[in-house]
Amino acid sequence: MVNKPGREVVVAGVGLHPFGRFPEKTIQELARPAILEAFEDSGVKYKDIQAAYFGHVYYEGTTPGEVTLRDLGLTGIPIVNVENACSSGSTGLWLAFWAVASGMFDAVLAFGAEKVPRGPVTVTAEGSPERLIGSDFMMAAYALGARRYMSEFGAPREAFAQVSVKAHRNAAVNPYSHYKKVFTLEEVLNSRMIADPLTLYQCCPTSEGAAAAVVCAKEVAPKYVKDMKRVVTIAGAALRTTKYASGQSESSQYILAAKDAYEMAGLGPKDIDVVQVHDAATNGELEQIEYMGLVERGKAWRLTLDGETEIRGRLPVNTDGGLQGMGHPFGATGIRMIHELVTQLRTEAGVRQVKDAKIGLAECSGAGGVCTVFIVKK
Amino acid sequence: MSQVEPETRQRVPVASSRLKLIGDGTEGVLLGRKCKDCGEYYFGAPRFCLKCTSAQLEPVELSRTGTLDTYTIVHQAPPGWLGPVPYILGVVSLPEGPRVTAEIVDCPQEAVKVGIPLELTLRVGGKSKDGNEIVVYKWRARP
Repeated sequence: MVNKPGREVVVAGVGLHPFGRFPEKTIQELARPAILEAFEDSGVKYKDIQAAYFGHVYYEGTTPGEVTLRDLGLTGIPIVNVENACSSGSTGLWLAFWAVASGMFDAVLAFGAEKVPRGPVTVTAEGSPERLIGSDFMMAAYALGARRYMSEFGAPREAFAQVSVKAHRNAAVNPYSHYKKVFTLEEVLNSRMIADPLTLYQCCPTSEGAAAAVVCAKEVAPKYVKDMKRVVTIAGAALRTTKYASGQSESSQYILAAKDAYEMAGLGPKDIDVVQVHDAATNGELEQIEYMGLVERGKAWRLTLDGETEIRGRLPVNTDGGLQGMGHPFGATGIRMIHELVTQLRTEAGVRQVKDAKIGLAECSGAGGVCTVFIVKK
Repeated sequence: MSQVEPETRQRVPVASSRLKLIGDGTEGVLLGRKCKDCGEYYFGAPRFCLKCTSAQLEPVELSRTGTLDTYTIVHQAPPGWLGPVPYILGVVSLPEGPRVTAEIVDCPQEAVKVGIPLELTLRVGGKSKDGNEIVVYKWRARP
């Protein structure tokens, strides 16, 4: 399944619109500042961009990518709107990667933006059987996984809550985050119950925001990029969906995507210095770092309680606050993770800086059994 | 004086591919498919085998009992849920292999444990636009 990229691909620059609530702004007004920041960061100009990929989920009218970019100039480039649930942004980045790796284009733009409505996130249409059955609720689905994890591996609910404590501590010192409040373990555990064992402060906020990345072929990047020392190589890029396995919960996409990405990069879990994973609910973080092979199956909860996933721990995870603290504008999230890895690898993360971060991994998953994994290196 | 309306209300299954009602609709059976090529069982009616992609699937009736694989107690009801809150949502593994997610009823929260045996039961879970009662499959503790 792993194809070898034809040539080296780099992230030349990244940009973010802060995550939060911006009722006065349209999705275009969120996306454009992130895009312009990525152009400024890289030195690449819109007239150099040969294709663009826009990750988004909620309906904002047809061709929102074209509508967003129209104000920057009508340059005639192909623009693709990408919907792949919570991995929409990272799926766009995956397409951008292959467009450059294959030699089709030299410089492309991947961006994502979202205005997620408030309230519980559902995945089926109104009137579906799942609504009456009571199973169409993302956080209930996560809670079913959390309970299974507790019963299989003896994890206490404190381990899940600790993920939130750490995430909010990291988010509190990140100027782009939705939430800047620090919580104690007790406050997380005692917040309103959503779906047992997950309390409110263990379910990521629904947010608005945007993220962008300029992706170039390394061999031609000096033509566009102002400082080649700041580019970060995409060593592995994988996108997978569920592969059926009898009597198993649907989790194969994570393992398959991780395997693809490691294989392409020629790297393994032991090489990874800094990690971003999809912590839509706190138990997601524990399971994802296990599926990525970064910690043995069933052991992530102990690693977390021991503080090893903190910025100064052995395996720093979700250093920018993750979905828990940054918030989760679906289309933007996957690219936000790359933004944080690029920032870390450039040693520009300030108080959130992971020491000696040379290689990073970002895993972003989505409803429908989607998983993307990126491995980036200096 | 009130006029007696003729009884026109009917009971209909929440999804006819998953649940067949018997008699007056108070009893029913879970429906599935079995792949003739690889033998895999499914809940509901996929047109192709998810395991081997064969189109040779035959209709089967599934067991009415199973064991609890995992559960949660939902305190914030999602939109469209008409039942009580909080409610227990469970995933039950059937002997044939498929897992069926549904509400667990007639069971105190303290009694819910991973691994307990459960059996099928039916409840009215909503009303359709034409006034029919929608019957939803649920799980309850096995006596």
